[in-house]
Amino acid sequence: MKLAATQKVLWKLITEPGPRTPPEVARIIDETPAFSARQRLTVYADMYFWRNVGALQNDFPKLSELLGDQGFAALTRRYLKAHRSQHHDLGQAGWQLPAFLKRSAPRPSRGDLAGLAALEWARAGAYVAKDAAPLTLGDMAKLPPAKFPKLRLGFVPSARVLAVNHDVAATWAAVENKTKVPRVRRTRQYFVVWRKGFEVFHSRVDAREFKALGLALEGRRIAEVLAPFGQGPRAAQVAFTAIGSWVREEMVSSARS
Amino acid sequence: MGVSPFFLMGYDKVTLGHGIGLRNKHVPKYFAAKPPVAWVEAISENFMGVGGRVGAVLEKVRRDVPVALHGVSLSIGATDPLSKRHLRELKELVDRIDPAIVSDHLCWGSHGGRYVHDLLPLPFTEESLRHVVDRVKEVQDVLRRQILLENVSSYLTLSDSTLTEWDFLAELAARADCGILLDVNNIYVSATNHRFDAREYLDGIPADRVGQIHLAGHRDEGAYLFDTHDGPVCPDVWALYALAIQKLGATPTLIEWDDNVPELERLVEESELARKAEQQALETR
Repeated sequence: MKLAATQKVLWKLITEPGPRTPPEVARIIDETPAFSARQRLTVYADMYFWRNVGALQNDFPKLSELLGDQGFAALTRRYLKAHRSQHHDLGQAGWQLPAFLKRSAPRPSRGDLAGLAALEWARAGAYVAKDAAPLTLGDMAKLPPAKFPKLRLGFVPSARVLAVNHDVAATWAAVENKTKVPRVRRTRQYFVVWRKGFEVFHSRVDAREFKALGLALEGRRIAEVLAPFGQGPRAAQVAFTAIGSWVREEMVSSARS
Repeated sequence: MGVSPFFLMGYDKVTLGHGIGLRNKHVPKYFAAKPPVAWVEAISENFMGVGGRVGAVLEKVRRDVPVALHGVSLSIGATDPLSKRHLRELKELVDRIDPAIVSDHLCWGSHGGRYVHDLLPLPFTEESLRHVVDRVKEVQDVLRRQILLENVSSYLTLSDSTLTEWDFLAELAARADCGILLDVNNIYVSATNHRFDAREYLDGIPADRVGQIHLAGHRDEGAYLFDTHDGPVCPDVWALYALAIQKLGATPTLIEWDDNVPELERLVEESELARKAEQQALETR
């Protein structure tokens, strides 16, 4: 059999093990009475599965805690059927898990699982994101105020925003503090996730700041970024407080016209 | 593909001594205690295209000791095209870290653009050999340096094979002008699982191509041995290591201990055992 054909057969046998051993197995794999071809394939199929379980548990510790070992393994089995890793780094295997959970939550379901996974995935990405030197408030103060509205902020690669449809903050806190996990509550929540030094943070923001951050991350001018905060002196104060906090929290790496 | 123009045929073994794998659990103690470790091996994919603590740790280690980069996902034997992204990120890492050794595995682990994240065995045929030789040359051309390929532990062999694994590895190293990372534990595990003579394997390996050795623990599953990297090196593997050193001479050696990872002191102790075993083997050479 040609190399490509052999690999195609083995790939299927290892990633989609079935209850019966296909007849071609005996033709392509050597076996002994003590260690059958099927047993040999099972070693690889098990390694494939459990390695993925371990990698996903590493990136989604709270989801794993919430589902328990069996529940998480069952979720992994369903996820792998839909999404095999497309990246050379096993650590990237979970990138489609939040979307998968949104489409296909495990039963009995908790509606907040997709949001919880999205937050964990955002944090995992922030942890390994490339480095960039943050801008300081002192750097910002040196910029001519007249140019401010036309500036575009650059963000550190770890900075990202996400919106979820449930009270993920409460679920997160309960798992973190090992307290009773609350009933799922449907509500819109917004988060910003970033890394400061080596430590990853997430913080809830309101809808206006979420929108403003989204615009800023797209590279829009500060004048446009301010728009979601509304008009008037009070709105301007809120907007500049928010932007100041982005700089202070080391999310911003540049300000250019 | 022609012979790469930027190095001569042959492999120059670097003198490194005995090293340990870089594991998260050990990082704080490693920097605090500065154990007597000659070099450190890091899994390439864990450090490709990343920043933060992960990237900083490797750069800090590299300032103190030589680093070997050991890949697990190059999938050199797959029939998919080599991943350009993988090669680009590996090249960036190699340029940044300037490693003493760059290695990966003689196996395949991807198909149709998907990764199994495992080290799957190849059929040892002339077709596979030509295929892997071409791909090793491609990788070496991109990296502009030689790589080492490691023999993997395997649990199945393919009926199509016409060559032994050691003949395949020897021929590959000669034709692709690459080095060999000889995993002595993997030889032992595969020899048991496939009923071949581990000594014959060692005899078939060209000594001048071996640039590094791996040692590790395994588990007896009854019907087969399982390469677990979760415990100390067993006496049979130590004995095989002594034979390997007698044949190869002093060779940079690393203890792989990836699961049930012990305290740093215990890992360093195991590495020290390897150093003593090597010394003893060289004295009786």
